[in-house]
Amino acid sequence: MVFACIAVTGCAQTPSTPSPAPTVVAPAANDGAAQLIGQGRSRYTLMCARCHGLNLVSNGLGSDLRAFPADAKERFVQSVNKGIRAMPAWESSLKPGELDAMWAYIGSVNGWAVELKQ
Amino acid sequence: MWRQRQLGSKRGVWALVLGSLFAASACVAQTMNDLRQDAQTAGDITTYGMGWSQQRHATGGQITPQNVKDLVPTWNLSLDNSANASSQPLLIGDTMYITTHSHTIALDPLTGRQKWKTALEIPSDINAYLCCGIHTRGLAALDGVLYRTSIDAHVMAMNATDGKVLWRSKAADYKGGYSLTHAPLIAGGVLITGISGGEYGARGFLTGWDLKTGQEKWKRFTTALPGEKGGDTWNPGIAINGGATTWLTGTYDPELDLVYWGTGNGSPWNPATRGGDSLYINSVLAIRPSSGEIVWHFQFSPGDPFDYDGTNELVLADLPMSGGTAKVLMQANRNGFFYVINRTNGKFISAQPFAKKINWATGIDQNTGRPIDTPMTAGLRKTEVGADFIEAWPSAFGGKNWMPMSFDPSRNLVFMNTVNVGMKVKYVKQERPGGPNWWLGLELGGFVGPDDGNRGALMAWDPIRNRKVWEATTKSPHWSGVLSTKGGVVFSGSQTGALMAFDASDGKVLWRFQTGSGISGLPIAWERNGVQYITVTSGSGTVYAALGGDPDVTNVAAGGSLWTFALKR
Repeated sequence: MVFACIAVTGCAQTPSTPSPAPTVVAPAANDGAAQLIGQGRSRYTLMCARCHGLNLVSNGLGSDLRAFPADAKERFVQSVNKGIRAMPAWESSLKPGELDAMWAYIGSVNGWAVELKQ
Repeated sequence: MWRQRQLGSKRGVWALVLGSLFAASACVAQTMNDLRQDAQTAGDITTYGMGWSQQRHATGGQITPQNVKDLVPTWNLSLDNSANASSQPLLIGDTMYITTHSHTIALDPLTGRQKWKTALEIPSDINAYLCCGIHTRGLAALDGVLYRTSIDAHVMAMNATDGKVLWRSKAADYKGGYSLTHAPLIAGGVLITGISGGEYGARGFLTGWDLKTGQEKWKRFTTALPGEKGGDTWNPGIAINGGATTWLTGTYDPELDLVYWGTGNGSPWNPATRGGDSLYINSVLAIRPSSGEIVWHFQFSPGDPFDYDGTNELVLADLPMSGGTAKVLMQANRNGFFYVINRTNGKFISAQPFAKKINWATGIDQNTGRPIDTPMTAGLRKTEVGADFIEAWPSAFGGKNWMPMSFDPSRNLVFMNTVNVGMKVKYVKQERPGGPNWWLGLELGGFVGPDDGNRGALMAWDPIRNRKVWEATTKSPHWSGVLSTKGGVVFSGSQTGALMAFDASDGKVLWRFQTGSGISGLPIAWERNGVQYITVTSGSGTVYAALGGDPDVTNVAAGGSLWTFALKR
């Protein structure tokens, strides 16, 4: 389930200019990718949506993850694990693999593929 | 204890005389009598809800449908933060008081100038433990002392003169998913608070505190454990984390000496995991304030699957019904039905649908008050794991959410902000995760807008005939409180920042003013020197805006402030 950003009215008014989008590669049509994305969506909904919006549709309470650069996974991991500004540190609540799953989910919404570790 | 000060007794008369003398001087400490009379007195506001019945009706009639077009701002005070400003001010003597999640502020109501401001210490990781935003809804006050809760589940008393903290007590450990946002209630000589945390696997409770010392006098849990009365309405091992939180302020009838407090959703939301009716989720509890004893209860949504909290304000009214006067409580429930209940004994009187689309129940049995499940709902009780997503109306936001309604006793009309949105959910088996993690037992797929595009409406409702009188639809639901005035004007604010005045007779918008942020506050009306003022907070960060996927509220700037208006002179 890939949510195209253009379908959502708010996308046109994202506050920051996203970095140039990487070449969009359709997510691999295999069970592994779909399962990871599904796990990520589920975790995101229970943990992150309350501030960052359901299905990433942000209203500014938390930062707009639709504008998060695809090549900044390290920053994503650091911010979520250690906390940043009003966001608390989540690392003690996260199980192994959940960060990767959420990253894959964000990639699926924003239209960039995520390389899966074999 | 306070019963000795009943009006009519010699002692009561002296208390009234002395109270009036003190009221005449500039600096005044409000008495218990001021709290009792709050709904009748236009010159002060000493309680959350403008009276123990929370009718939110102003007895001053200066502002009318004819002159409200001349309403202009008199001052604005910055609240210096970007959080949700869903608070109601108090006005006592020559000082107005307003709370934010991080501060308590005293100000001059005529000039808007700050007098003092006291900061709270908030743990830096608190946001992990909140379902629905960081905010606070208001204060209680008595004898020169202010009482409030803090988001990290503490209760405190402060000196009204200078904001110094007199005592601070812990209601629960926030790291267990507990928090507090509501204004405390003073009833029967006791300070009463509830608790939030229904999405975290919390167990709900009410606490009675000593007003002077902050010592806990009693604690009443709201889920029934095995062996307790109602304990057999749960699967084993669930009720201990079963929800039924108590996150909005109750009402109080001093003659009956009963506090009415609503309980929230079951934990998890998945009804098959919980099993049975799950007492006392989604109920009204009638509580004896001195002891916390549950005198009677009525459960709105037994075994609820949809997060239909029973916490919405339980407005008290004496209605001309059945050839006499019925002492009732009224609630526009999250489940989409408007309930009228006999508040002396908890007997069900009536429940009729106010939400536009209800597909979880075909109606409410008018004899027992019990909902009649649709096949969709009946199926959810049978198996923990859903085969697919289902679409439920109303959504978890409910047909009406926390934003309180107003009751006009001169017109016998309720004015309330309603919501018209559905949701897609798929039920799953989930173990309680603990810590800062939600425990719902379902996948939240998203929210669904209605066909006509109007996700909300300000509705006028006749509670005697239990039916709609008029509605003023809106693309995005209003997430702020409603105020009605004797003059026939209804005030409320939009999520896009407009404070609006409606004609009470037909819902026409007579005046509007654009503030700097969305309005999720509770408007009040008050008087000084013959002038009627309207005060409301602006500053939004609502859970609806965060989760609802409503494109019309995605471009609202944050930033809290307090506004006051009066007729142009």
